[in-house]
Amino acid sequence: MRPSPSELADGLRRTLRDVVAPEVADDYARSQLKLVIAALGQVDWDNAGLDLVRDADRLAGLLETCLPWLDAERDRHDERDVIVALVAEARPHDRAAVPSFADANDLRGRLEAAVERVVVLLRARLTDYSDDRAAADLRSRLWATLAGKE
Amino acid sequence: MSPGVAATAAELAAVLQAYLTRRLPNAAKVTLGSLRRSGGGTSRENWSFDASWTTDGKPVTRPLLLRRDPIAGVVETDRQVEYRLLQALEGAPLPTPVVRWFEADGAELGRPFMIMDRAQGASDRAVLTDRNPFGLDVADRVTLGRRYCELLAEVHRLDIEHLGIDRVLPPPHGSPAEREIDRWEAELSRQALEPQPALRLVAWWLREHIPPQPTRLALVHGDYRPANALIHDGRVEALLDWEFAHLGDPLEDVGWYCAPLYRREHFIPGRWEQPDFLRRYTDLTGIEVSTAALSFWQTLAMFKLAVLALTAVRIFCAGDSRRPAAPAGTLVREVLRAAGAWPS
Repeated sequence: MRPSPSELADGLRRTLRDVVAPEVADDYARSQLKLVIAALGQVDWDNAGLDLVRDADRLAGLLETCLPWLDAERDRHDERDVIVALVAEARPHDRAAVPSFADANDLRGRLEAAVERVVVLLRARLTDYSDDRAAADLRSRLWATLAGKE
Repeated sequence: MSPGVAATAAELAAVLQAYLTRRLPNAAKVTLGSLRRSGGGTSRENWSFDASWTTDGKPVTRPLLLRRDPIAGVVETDRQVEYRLLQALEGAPLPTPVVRWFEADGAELGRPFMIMDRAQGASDRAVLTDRNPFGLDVADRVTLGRRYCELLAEVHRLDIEHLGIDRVLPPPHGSPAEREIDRWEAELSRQALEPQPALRLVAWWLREHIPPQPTRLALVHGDYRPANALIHDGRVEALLDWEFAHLGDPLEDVGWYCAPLYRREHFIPGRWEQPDFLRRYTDLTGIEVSTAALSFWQTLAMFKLAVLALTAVRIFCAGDSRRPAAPAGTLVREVLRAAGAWPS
């Protein structure tokens, strides 16, 4: 596909920067144009959809590492069951199936919500039992993964 | 035109002229010139104009600035508080805008607004960088960098009781740091369109790393950085954008100025770096900046920036703002990195 979405966005940025911007005299319009040019460069247009799918896969992997901890206490089993189902949805048997952007975005949102609920559970646990090594280790793993270090 | 909305520059000029005529009862022939919306301002609409009139037969021309609330902004703050604070600051040895009029309701211009004297100069977040938008030489930029530090120290040294600032801004109950986490975590819940597990982790980290309370409360600007200072002839002409101001821990402003996201803009490599800034700040205020406290306030600053970015995303997606907002994922990851690791 040529131009790729990113090539097209780069071309639009060049035209706006080199042709349109010098002709814009009004301060406010010029500042808005700068924001538009910047925003066009802040998204990887070629990979936006693919990144969503990869992100969902990464979050599913992270949630899988939470399962042993969720499994360890009965009061976490409801969340464990939700996450097992979510992970299965994120890892379909038919790898060739391509989700729509909206479906991938929705799935990623639900996976992020699940990670958020694990954070809430961990926080409650470590507030009451600050010496729970498994919980503290899991918190560190969540931190590193969400920071993009793992 | 809907009554009091004034959507276009021409409509605004007509409504403003009528407003000023009413507010200047001893003035005759009030006219407006050079009305234009200025480029800056993410939380307010800023319109500069020159108002002219005659008083006792003598012509007067005054450069003014209208700050009107946007339809939706990234900051929801009380305009009346900002107006009263700026009035209180007129008694302080600081270059702050002189405010003239304030209207809390939308009867005049559709939304609340204030009008202030317009100082000379321009602001640019890159003023200290090699992009050098004002054409200053390196020595002048170093002097300016030092001046930002000195002015911040002056803000924090203000006698808040003597100036009546404590009657405008309520002192926090308990820990100022805890109050700020409460405020920005609540904002996160209110503004985010999608779940934010990374920011929930950071909020938790912040609560577990709350620094000791300051020995005394200070006026905290809340958005102190070169982007919010007007520069004229290489000097700071006015400190702007006080809508985040509150009473709290002065190190909050230090952490904001030293936030990792701003490091390349706020310092000059090899000439004026963060340790120079911190040393000078301590010399001027007597306030020691511990590594742990700085780390906390820098992380809170990054957290706040991420929440503001998510707010911008929300109002853009709702169609309430023309300002384009890209996804905030990269910034959110930077917030976690700013805090370092959370050792198990």
